[in-house]
Amino acid sequence: MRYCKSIILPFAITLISVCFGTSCKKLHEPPSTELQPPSTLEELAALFYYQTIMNYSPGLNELSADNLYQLYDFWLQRSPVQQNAYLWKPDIYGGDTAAGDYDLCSAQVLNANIVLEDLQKMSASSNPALWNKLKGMALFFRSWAVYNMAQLYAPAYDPVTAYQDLGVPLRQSSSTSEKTTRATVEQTYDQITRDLQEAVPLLPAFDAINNNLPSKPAAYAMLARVYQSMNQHQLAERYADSCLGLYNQLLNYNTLSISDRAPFNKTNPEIIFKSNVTDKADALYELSDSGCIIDSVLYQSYATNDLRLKAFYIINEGSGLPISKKSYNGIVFPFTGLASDEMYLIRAESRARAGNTTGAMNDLNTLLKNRWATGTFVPFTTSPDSTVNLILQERRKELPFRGLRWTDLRRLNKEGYNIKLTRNFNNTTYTLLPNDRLYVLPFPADVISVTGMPQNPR
Amino acid sequence: MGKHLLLSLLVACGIHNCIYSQEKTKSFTSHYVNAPVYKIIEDLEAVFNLYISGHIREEDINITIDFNNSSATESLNTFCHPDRADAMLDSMKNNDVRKDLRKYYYQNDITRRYTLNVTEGNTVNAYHLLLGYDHTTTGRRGNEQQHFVLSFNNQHAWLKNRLQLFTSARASLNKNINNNMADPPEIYPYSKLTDDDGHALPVPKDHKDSYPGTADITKLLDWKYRPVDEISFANNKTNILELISNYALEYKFNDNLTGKLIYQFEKKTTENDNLKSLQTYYTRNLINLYTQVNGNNVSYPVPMGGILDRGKSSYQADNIGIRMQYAKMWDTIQKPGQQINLLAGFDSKIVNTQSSLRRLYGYNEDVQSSVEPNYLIRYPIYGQSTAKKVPFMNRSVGTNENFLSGYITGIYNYQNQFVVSGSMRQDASNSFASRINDKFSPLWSVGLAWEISRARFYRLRLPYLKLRATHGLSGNVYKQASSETILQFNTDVSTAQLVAAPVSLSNPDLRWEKSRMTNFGVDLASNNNRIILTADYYFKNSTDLFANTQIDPSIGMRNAIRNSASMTGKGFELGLTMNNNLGVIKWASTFWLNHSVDEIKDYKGSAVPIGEYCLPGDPIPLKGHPLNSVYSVKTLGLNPTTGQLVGVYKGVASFDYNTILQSTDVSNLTWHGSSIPTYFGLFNNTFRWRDLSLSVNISYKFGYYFRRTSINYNDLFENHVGHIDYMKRWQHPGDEKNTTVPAMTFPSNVPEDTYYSFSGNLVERGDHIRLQEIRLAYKVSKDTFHWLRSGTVNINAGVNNLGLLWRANGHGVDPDYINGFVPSPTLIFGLKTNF
Repeated sequence: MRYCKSIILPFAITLISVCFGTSCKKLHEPPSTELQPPSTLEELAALFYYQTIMNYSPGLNELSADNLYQLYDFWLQRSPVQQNAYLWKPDIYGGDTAAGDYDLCSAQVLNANIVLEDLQKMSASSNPALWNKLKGMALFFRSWAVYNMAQLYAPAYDPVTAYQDLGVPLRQSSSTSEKTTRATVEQTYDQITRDLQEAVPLLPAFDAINNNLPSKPAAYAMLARVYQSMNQHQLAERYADSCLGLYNQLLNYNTLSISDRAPFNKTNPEIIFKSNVTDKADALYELSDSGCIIDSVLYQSYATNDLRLKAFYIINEGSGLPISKKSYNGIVFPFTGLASDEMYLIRAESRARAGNTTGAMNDLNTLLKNRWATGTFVPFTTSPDSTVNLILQERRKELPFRGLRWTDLRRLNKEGYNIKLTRNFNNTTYTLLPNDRLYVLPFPADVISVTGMPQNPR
Repeated sequence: MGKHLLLSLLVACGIHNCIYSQEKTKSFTSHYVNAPVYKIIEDLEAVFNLYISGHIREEDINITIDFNNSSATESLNTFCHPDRADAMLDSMKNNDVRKDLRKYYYQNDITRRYTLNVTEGNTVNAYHLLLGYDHTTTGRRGNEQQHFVLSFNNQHAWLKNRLQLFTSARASLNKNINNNMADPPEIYPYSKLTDDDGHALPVPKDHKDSYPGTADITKLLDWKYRPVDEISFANNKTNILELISNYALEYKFNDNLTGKLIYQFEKKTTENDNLKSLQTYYTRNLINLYTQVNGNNVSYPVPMGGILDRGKSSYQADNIGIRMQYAKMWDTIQKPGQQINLLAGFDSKIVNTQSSLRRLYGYNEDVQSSVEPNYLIRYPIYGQSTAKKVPFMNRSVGTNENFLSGYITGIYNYQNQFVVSGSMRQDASNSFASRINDKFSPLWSVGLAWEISRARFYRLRLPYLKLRATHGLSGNVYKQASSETILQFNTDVSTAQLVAAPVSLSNPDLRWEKSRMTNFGVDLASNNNRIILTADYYFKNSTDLFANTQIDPSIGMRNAIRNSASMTGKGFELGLTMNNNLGVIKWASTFWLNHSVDEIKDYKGSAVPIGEYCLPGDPIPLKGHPLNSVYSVKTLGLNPTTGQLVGVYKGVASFDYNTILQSTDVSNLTWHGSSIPTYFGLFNNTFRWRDLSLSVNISYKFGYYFRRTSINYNDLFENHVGHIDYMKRWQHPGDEKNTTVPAMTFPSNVPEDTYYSFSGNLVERGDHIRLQEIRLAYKVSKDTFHWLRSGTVNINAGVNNLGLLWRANGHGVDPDYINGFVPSPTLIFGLKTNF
């Protein structure tokens, strides 16, 4: 049997070592083409390209605000959370745990934290430009989500009580062992502004094609929006100014096909950062037979030659009532992102509050010149005392359904504007008083029971 | 050496009377069982009375009442005139949709099986050939399965049988037609599926029968759903081709050492073509929903034509193994001596799968053309205040799993009296979870057996007595668990960008599940093996068990798989085989009894709303109870004035069902017991008289609980799902003394329905004894029938699924088939010959 030993054994050993050598290497291959841990910077970036998560924002704030009213039959077809939020019910969930807004913001924070954690593990040297960009984007997205959450679940910023008012959770990692607690309002806004300031030098310049991703002007714009919501107008002016210094394009509405259902599209040059209301808030969809009607005071406030009347709204043939056209970036969900028109209005309001009437009116007229029919616009003039009010009126007309009104109501009422909301609905009158505790929405019940965080009193 | 040829042919046929089971139980709903149709109509009258008296609105009635073949409004008018209402009710009482379902939806389930075996050969070269064909018409009309199989095994030896090669190849083809996949429509028992001439009639589905309004009717496709036509319009074919080949090369180096190389190749491809032509409701409905009507302009974002869903998947596995076996005996002829067996080996397996689905819209079967819709635009949906994109169904996924394992086992046998054994193995794979391998030592087990009956001092009259003991550690990883963050990658349809979303969060604490088990056993046998008994007792301790745990939604996800539980388990297994002679009849019986219980010792998952414990699905561990348990929420019976179910929250009566179900305080729960049998087994008997044999097989399950179904008013109003308990519902004050079924309210109180379905009133003992099978077999052999040229013919006939002999619950529910669908008896005939 020497024959066998001399041939078969070496042959077998070679065969086996080849087979198992390959097998050992194969142990490090990912088991699936679609499920993998991120191993490159490009794969991490894929988290931010996912617009279905990253470019949406809450809808409960707009549903609770005073830009709209709903017809009864239309309201009946909405989810319980939307129905209850519309009527300012103390418990808006009614046992429904599918709380879209909270989960959406938490998912955005998670993606940002995953990127921040993995960047620490990956070397910056392979592509330092992308590494920095991703870090800046992560910080921007985290503050974007935390800010949006704070507009729903935390009270408006009050410098006197912010150190003790309860804000929202500020999760720092994707780890499940990190316990979720409620930060104070002070800590909440501290992190939002700190993240944004850290992001500014890391973020890339504005790129219209990729306006779903944050850029330098987007971070400035966000800082302006945040400081305005805190009633810190000096800082709001500074950052609006920084933003407009980098990007100040406006769209002349005379160039629009104004009678279209979608006069705007995604190339709207005013857009700095793209975001739309989550699809959970379907009451806010643009639909030809929508029962979501424009508030009559708002609708009647537009002058005849103001092109926004026709660009934003259409009369529904069925009900004879005004409803929304497709949004500012041409899709059916309202636009809630950052845009240059908002920056002009923030700077104007801040300048007016600081007594710089000329500067304020310059900003306002620069904007409105692009909104009125050619040849009809006469620049506004006003007395220093009424400048702020005029700008606030114009702000409401320029930015309806942009997710801003609820925050404006909260900050203006803090300053004593005393705006009372009422809804006459199905033979009942519902009222929301200024600074009412109903201005702070409740956290979903399961979040409270799992974390033990204190619920907002309603 | 002479070759001998063996041929055998097997013919078998099984008939399963599907209609019987459908009719007895589920059909359109298991719940109208025995409930006279007129009774339900009477109660619908009550609903109309509520409408007429202004208690409910017309919109609500439209949901409930949508009569077959007549629009809702007509029915309503009819009802509002008492004279006409009576006539209508009378005519409806004569309809029973179950008769129509029997005729158009179901058929007998018949399986025919033919097998031909050919074996020929000797020790140098032998082969086995198998040819098989099965044909099944399933219980649903329009479905059919065919199965072809060809297999060939060959063995060849060289070098005086020291080198042997085994090869085998098997090819099989399944051709399935599934044209009746949809469940029977949920419709009123007094509906009709066809008119008197046999033409299919529409039944309401998704929307009111009178829908759409007349305005757009010409612009839309026919929007009616005719269940009987659907079966003939469907065209859904699946072909599965499977090839397996095995090669094993074995070489005996000497009398003790044997080496073996094994290679197996397996490939399976599945192709499914599901063509939903323009005639099918699915396609008509989808086109209609997306139809854009703008004055006289009509456009169809879902292209006009059929919809073809074409799925392909493949599975390929390569398996390579090598093992070395060493066996040595120190033996004398008269007396067994010592024996040692060692086996060591490596196995490597590589599994690749690919699956893809592609949907073609506007499909024209004749020229195989299709139209690409615009997937990016959100279109307003016809008649609904919402907008959606055209469903994008194209998808392709691949997986790649690689395994490598090494093992060694050893057995030492001393004079067949003592046996000591041990084994050890180490596994590795490329699944994310097993990258934690380095944190874990190999798995192992040791065993000891002592055949006392061979000991010198043994004096008992039992000829065979053996004691056994084993102890071992086993481990397990859950494939979906990962220590790293896992993202799901995809390509955005509109931007062509690589996009990702997290599906699993990093978990540095991920560990193997570990289980230590100790087993003691005894085997004994009487003279001539008339009684053989084996008994085992085991206990085990499992730690770091994986559980899909609800996590804090603030993290950004709602679920995660975690090492979060530990549990203990114990049980015993008893087997008894007896061979008795009852005169000329031989009676062989086997009795098996299994007992096992477990208890959660620790669970670290976060608190869960108590309602979740009562839901079906993955069990949620609760410390101090078995993993699989039946829990219920507490009630204080029915409110004597309203018949409403009284819930209990923190020991106090409450009607706030949602608050109770959302609370995480488990003291609001009642634990009934295990949801899986803690005692189960079988009792099989064969009686033989000459060439005739009769077997009777009985199985039993004890020591567990289940939750039965009852009336759910929301289901009744929305989906026409009734239940016999409807007849027992609370109707008048005083009824609460005799019933636990809450009063009907309209519109339904959904939280109350849910709370009632979770309540202890519906938890029953699951214990039962089942008559599994009776089979009669007869062997026609040459000895008795001399005209047979050669071989034998075996004939058998039997019945399966004969039902329950005894059950603990008093509601007539078969605990193995809680939702209805009790399989009806199956008849089996078989014929097997050898030539």
